[in-house]
Amino acid sequence: MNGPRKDSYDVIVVGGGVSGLSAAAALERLGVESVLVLEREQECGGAPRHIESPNFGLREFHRLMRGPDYAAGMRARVRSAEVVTEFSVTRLLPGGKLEGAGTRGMRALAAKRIILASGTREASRHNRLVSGARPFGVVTYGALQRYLSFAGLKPFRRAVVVGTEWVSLSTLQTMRKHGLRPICMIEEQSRTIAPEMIMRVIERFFNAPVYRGAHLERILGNTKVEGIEIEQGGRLHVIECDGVVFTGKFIPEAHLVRLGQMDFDQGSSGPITDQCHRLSDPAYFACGNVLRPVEASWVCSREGERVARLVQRSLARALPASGGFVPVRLSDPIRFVWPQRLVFPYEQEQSGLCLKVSFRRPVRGMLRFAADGQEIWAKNISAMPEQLVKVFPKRMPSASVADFELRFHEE
Amino acid sequence: MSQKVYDVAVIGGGVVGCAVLRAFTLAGLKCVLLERGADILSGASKGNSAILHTGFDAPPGSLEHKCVQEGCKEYLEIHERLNLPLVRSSALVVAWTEEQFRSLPDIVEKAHKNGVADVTQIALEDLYGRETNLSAGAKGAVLVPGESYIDPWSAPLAYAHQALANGADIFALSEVQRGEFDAGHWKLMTPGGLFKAGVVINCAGNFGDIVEAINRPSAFRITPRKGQFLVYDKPAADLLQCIILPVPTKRTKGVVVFRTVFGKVVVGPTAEDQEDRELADVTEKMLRDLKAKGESIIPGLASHEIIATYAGLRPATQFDDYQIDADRDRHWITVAGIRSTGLTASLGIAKHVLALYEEKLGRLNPIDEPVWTPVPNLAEHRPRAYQKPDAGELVCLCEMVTRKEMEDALSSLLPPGDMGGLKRRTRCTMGRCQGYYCGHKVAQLAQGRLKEPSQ
Repeated sequence: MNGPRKDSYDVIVVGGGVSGLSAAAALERLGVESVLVLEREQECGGAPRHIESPNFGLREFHRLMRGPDYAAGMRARVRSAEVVTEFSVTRLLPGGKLEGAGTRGMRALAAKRIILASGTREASRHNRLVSGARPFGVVTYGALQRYLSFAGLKPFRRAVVVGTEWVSLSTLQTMRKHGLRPICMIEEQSRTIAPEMIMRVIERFFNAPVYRGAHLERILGNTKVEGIEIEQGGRLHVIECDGVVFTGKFIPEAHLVRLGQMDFDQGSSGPITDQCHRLSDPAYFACGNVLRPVEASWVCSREGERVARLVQRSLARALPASGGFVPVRLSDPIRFVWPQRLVFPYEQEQSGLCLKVSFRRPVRGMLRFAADGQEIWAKNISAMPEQLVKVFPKRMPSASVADFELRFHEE
Repeated sequence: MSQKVYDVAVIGGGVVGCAVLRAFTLAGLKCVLLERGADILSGASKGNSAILHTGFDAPPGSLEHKCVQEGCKEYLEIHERLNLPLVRSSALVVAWTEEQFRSLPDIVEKAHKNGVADVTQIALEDLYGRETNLSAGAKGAVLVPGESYIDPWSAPLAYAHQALANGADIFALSEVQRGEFDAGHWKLMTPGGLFKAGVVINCAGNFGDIVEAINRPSAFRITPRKGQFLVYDKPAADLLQCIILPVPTKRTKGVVVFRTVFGKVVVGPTAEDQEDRELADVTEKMLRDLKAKGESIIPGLASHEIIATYAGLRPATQFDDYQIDADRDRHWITVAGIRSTGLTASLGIAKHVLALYEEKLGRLNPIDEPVWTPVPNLAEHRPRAYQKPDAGELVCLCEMVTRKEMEDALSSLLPPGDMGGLKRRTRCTMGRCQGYYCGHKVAQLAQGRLKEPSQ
């Protein structure tokens, strides 16, 4: 693959996954001429390329599609923008400059605006501080998909699935399709992250019980996985298996934000942005799952389109200034809110201002959003960690506000 | 199976075995290295902490002290010719209590006694000037300008490569199970066949006492001491400059916070005695303790991502010092109890063992013009393969490893025997995603090309 044809562009999109491709296609439609998409893998399309279940595309293509077909559809939407694969961005520099490596070595590039769309990945066993040696057969779901879809390799036969998010259900489907047996699922919380009603059906269908309130004590085996030990209700059990799949607990792929010295949110592990998707360096925008864990593909796709419109307006100097932002204050048990800061005026597109909130632990109670101490939104909610709760303040204050606060009152 | 009769058989392909093999090969002897694992460096050496010590805190007059200083000196002399990195970061011994503070002058005095003259106690302003992210509350510190960090695996690999290029042989999956000494020669039985050698050098690390018993009842007993480590991702590297050492206790050097040549930050090791000689497992409780410990030293670490955890087993004995000895009658040299300073000391140990050999066992005939074998650079601060115009495809996108680098490693003079060996030679899958992006590609590339495919 040849590198980028030029050294300088109007807009560079870092990451050719769903949100990045969507942003590039929308920029084309908006008439932005000089757009470059940089993708570090050999093909654009992002994670759907290796998710075979047919639950993509309903909103974008008006039919249900398998992941690889959906990824191809997203690629086909980008027509005139330059797309360079096998190019890894290594550093973002102030004002819209970047460095990266392609197949022919290092390049320095510049753009008036750079859109960060670098996506997300699942937390590995290391990140989760799981006990055990380093036997073969311990993977994340993403890695498993790649083993199966891209390399035709099976890292195990019978595995325990850690996690009960939606993606964990997709894991069971994938394993079944490839003749791998899911033995059981482990959930640290006392109830599953995906709805219990569905989980009970799934347990029966796959004959894979869910251990709720179960802590993964250690992975057994030195060279190959021999089993796991779990603690549930004060008792230890050993479950024999030859593989462990860690699912969910997504982490934004946002190290470039930190290396680039831009403001970073420890709660979301993504960049801090305003509601215009703008980072602390206003030459940078971000969309898709690099912003926060984690949204469905259609949300990422729509976010890409929104960012394209915002970037176009930014190029035309038609966005509110980024300097006078007000951060949204929050306190435990709220893990993060996106966007982390708001700028004035809040003029929104059709959908209105929407904040997304995530919690550290399972919660039930009243979530309140206040401006200068005045409540502008409140709702009774129940949420699990790794779920996003939406906050839609219908009436934002007309005068400028000095303080925004999100508060949670436990039941 | 080899029909050759070697001058020297080295048992154990750890850091020490590789350095000893190199030294004896360059001294003109015909040498073989026998490794029980599928790859060299797969025992104690895989979890070493990558620091090149000055020996400032070694017990004065000990063999360890001598070997650390000699080893450090030789590394500085040869690292450029082997294309090995060196980052002269300095180290700070930081006192956090009044009691520790009162012991700082003793640390300085000991360092001076050890011939490390540039060690000084520094003022608090100087400490916080050097380490702006250091936790508040330090009482004082000692600066050790000479401490550095290096590449923990490329160094021993380079020693092994140079030995191979100058005529040595290395056999993996060759655990020495029995041995017989007869008519001035050793016959060593391994699953791969019989090896004959004039002299045996026991560098068997965590199996040192078991191998020793082949010659004579072992005078020492190995109790593996496990050390667990946490690795933080690259953005954390800006949080510190120096190697941050604690004031040592009698038993251990304590938990160190240091940067690596790969651009990461490491916190560790723990010190846990165990019976098992092979199982280097991490445990959640200790990892959480390490995390808390690291954050108590550099609070900024709390906001950074832990990308890897690992454990190593250090071959501790009941003695404080190294156990190095030559049995003149039975042509056997023991090199054991090399605990935590092995990476630095290995070249010095090799020199010491060479002198023992010459004194007690035989003559040396150094090669006039040895072949030098520079190894591929993996350190961040020096040019990497991916940065060159002929880089080609990248396989590992976190550690920026090219397909060419992996192919080169797989077809090198000393190809990896298992997945761990491929990782140590290239760094593939050792970054923040731990194989999410490239695990399948690495598995595909290595398929059918490793002695031990499943690891």
